[in-house]
Amino acid sequence: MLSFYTAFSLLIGYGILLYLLASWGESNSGLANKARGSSVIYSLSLAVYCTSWTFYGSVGQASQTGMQYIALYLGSSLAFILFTPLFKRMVKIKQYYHSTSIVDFISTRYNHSQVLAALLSLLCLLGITPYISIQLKSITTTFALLVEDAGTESSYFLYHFDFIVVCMMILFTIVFGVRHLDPTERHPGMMIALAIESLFKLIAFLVAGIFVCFFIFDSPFDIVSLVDQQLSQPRFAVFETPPSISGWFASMFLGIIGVIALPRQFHVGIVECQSERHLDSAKWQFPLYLLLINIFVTPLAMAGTLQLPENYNVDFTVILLPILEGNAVVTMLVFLGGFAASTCMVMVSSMTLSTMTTNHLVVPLIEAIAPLRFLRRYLLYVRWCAVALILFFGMYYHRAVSESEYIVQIGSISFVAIAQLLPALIGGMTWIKGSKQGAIVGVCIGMIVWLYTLLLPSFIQSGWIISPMLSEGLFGQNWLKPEALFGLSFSSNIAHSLFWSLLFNIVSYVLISEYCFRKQLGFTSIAREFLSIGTNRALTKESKVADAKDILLADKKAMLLVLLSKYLSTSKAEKKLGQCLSKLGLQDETYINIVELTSLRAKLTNALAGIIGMAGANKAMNAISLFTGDEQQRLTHYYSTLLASTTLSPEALLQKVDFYQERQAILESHAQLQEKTIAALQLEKEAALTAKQALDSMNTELEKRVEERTRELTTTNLELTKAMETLKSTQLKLIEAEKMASLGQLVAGVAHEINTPIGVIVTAISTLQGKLKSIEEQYEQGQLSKQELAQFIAQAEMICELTMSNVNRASDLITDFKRAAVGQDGEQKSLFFIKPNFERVLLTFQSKLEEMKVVISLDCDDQIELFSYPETLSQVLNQLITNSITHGFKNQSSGNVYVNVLCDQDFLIIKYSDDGQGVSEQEIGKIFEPFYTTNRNAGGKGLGAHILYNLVTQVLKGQIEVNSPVGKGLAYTICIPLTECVYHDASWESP
Amino acid sequence: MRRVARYVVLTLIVLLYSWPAIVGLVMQPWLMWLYPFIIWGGIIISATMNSRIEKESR
Repeated sequence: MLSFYTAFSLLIGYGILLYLLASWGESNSGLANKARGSSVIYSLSLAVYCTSWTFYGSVGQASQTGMQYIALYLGSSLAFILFTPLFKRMVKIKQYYHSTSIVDFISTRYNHSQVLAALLSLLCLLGITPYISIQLKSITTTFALLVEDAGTESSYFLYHFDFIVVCMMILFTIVFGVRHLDPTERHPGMMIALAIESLFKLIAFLVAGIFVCFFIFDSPFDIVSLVDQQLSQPRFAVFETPPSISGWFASMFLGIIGVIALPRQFHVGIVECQSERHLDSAKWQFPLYLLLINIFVTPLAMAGTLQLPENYNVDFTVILLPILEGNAVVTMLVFLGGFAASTCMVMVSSMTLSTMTTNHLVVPLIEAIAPLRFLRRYLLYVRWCAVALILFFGMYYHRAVSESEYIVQIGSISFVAIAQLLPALIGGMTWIKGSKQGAIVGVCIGMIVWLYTLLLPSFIQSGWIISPMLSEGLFGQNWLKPEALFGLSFSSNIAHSLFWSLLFNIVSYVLISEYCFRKQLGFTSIAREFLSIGTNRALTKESKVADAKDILLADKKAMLLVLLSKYLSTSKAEKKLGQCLSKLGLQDETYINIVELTSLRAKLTNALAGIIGMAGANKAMNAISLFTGDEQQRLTHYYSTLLASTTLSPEALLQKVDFYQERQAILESHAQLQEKTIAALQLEKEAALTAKQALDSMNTELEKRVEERTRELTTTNLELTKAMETLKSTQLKLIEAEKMASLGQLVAGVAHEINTPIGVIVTAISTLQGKLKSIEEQYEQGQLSKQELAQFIAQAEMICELTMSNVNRASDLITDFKRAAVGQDGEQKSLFFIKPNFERVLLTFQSKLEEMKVVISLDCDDQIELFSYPETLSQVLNQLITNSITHGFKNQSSGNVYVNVLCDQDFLIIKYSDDGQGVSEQEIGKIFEPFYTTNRNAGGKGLGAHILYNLVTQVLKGQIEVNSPVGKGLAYTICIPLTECVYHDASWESP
Repeated sequence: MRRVARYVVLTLIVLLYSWPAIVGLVMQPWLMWLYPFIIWGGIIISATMNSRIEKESR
């Protein structure tokens, strides 16, 4: 149908795809991680159980024996559904002991027996090799069918195709399963590849079934009705014949054994199991898989019988039907499905067998034979070699024997061999007495019977061994016929071999184990441990013997009460005893066991120690002989049982007890210390927390206040700024208004003062002009008399005099205005002594003062020297004296003036006072105003005080104050800043 | 007790399957094909329910 190279390329492509899948499975991608932990992947990988035996062999068996094929899968399904707890225990034990294979698992139970492990490995090797051979057989046969018309050019390759397949399988197995040395390591990539392969082979088989049932025939019932019509023919009779009882039950039993004890099944189901929970899902998923892969078996077998010639190989009905129909797609799919079924079995089996062989056969040899010890460092390569040897051994078996056998027949041979593991496995997990010796002998005898009753006949039937043994029996003894041992023949040689091998195996195992148990041979604590993992049944059972409740509590209570009564009153002793019993939960008990009595004794000793001390309490307790001799023995036995179960020597146990007591004491001490520290820390923490909370609260409050205050200040500041601006503006306006008012007043004063003399001058001049005109007219008319001219001249002189006096007055006014306008006529600052300066001023007034009888007293330090304006200062004093003379002493016949010049750190102070008439309270406020005078009628201009004020404040940069106490004259105080003067002293320097 | 019950159930199911073989019953081909699957399906459904109950109780 296909060329050799096309079909071969198909296989290579499939292999590459498988490799990619496995690599992805081992990657860290999220989906791969999820897939690795999936129970569906686990359940699908369990379908490694379905090999080419299932894929091709079931249809072949159904064609020959009707419905018997299904018994195997029913047995497997029932075992998986009902024995889930057993599988869970196996998972737990495996996880506890890190078992690498079923052989490792069993040998661990029997005290890590190397002999047993080697024996079981050998058995597996012998048993599984035929199984591997049928996978090779199915691959090579179907491949040959696929390329049947390919021509002679490929015949060489076709002849050696099994060798090529074996090489591929070796490569696959090493790459997927034996890359690392640690066999306990899980192989997630391989498991995912197995799961995909399982899914693929199921799909392929269902497609084949649908193709045959619905494309070649109309429906499965069409096939059944056709068969029904031809039941009279011998080759169709199998489809209504019931299966043989022995064959049926043997198949069912083999199915149970298969899922429990097949090495590859153990590896996938137990070693690779990530979680026991997966078993709960697999409990229905795996049986469902088995159901689906078997559902089309009977219709396919019937279709094959209907469609194919009588001498065809019934094992390959599944692929022959699509080939016969010429459908290449279905044919290739079926071929690849069968290839997948075979490869997954071969990979896992060769991996587990190589592990067993290396660990239990090769490694002991390496250790025993010194020249081989260098191989210790090359165990991985040894394992690779083991894989290759196992597969080549399978190929050899295939070439030598399996050609003549049906697939199912060969597979059954393997299953019966593996069944020999079952007594040791199940017995080891459930029976405490099961011993290493029993297991070894049982397995040996079972294996011998298997070899004799099943393997040997298959060799003889294949012609590999020529012997009349089958018909005549060993040594001509009929009762030793391999297929009818002891004259008992079965309809199925598988059932026959299974029956006898297991019978001998179990009987040997039980008898020898029982014997060894009685003689205490080979019994180890591992057996107890093995049984206790997952269930404490065994230990509990032993404990029950020691812990029988048959000690009368009342007797013991009486003894203890007597003891306590020695130290306490009766009522208190009863109360104390009652408390101890209550704490132990024994208050309502009538009988107690030895353990409870021991606990009661310890409790009472502690209670008594509180009264009389521990040493005294122990001594008192020993004195009453609480334990009878029998009870002492039972207690000893109990402790020895406990000791045995711990696998520790008494010394080691004591050491451990001491160690743990010491550790407990240290831990308690540390715990107390830590409790105290924790309590202190807790308190500190609480205090800190409270403080922090308070601080936080205060901070928050403060922040709020600051914010509020800042807001208020900002508002106030703004208001103040506005007010200040308003104030400045108002002040400027006021100053401006004041200036304008002063200016107005000044101008009005000036106008008023100038107006008077000017008016007088104008009147005088106009009068003079009138007089002159009149004289001129009289002169021209010649009427002027001498008297009139003299009168005119006299009037003109008077007018000129009046005019001149008013001009002088106007001139004086203008001079005063000029002085009032702060002009110093360019006077420069100079250094001068103040006293001589003042004395010169006084000298100018001397005659006037004498005339008015005014005495001036000058009190001034001679050394006061100023750097200032001397003329201005003279004018100041001049003005003051003028004012006193003009106004103060106006109506007085005499007076006194006092001038006192002082100097402090900051100011030069001139105090001037007179005892004149003074100024009224209403007038004193206006004294410095220009043109204000109380003496206008007497020619006062009202500028003296104003000029004085301007000189002090504007030229000398000082201040002037005036006051007039009633009846005490007038007093001025002038302060001039010292920056403007220098006191002539050693400590003073002129600026 | 549960263990005993489990073995009783196993025995009953095995007998249920095996009675045609035990009594040597000649069956119609379609019955021979389908009857194991019907019982098988029923057992798987029971196992599924049991598995769910165990998961929920866990």
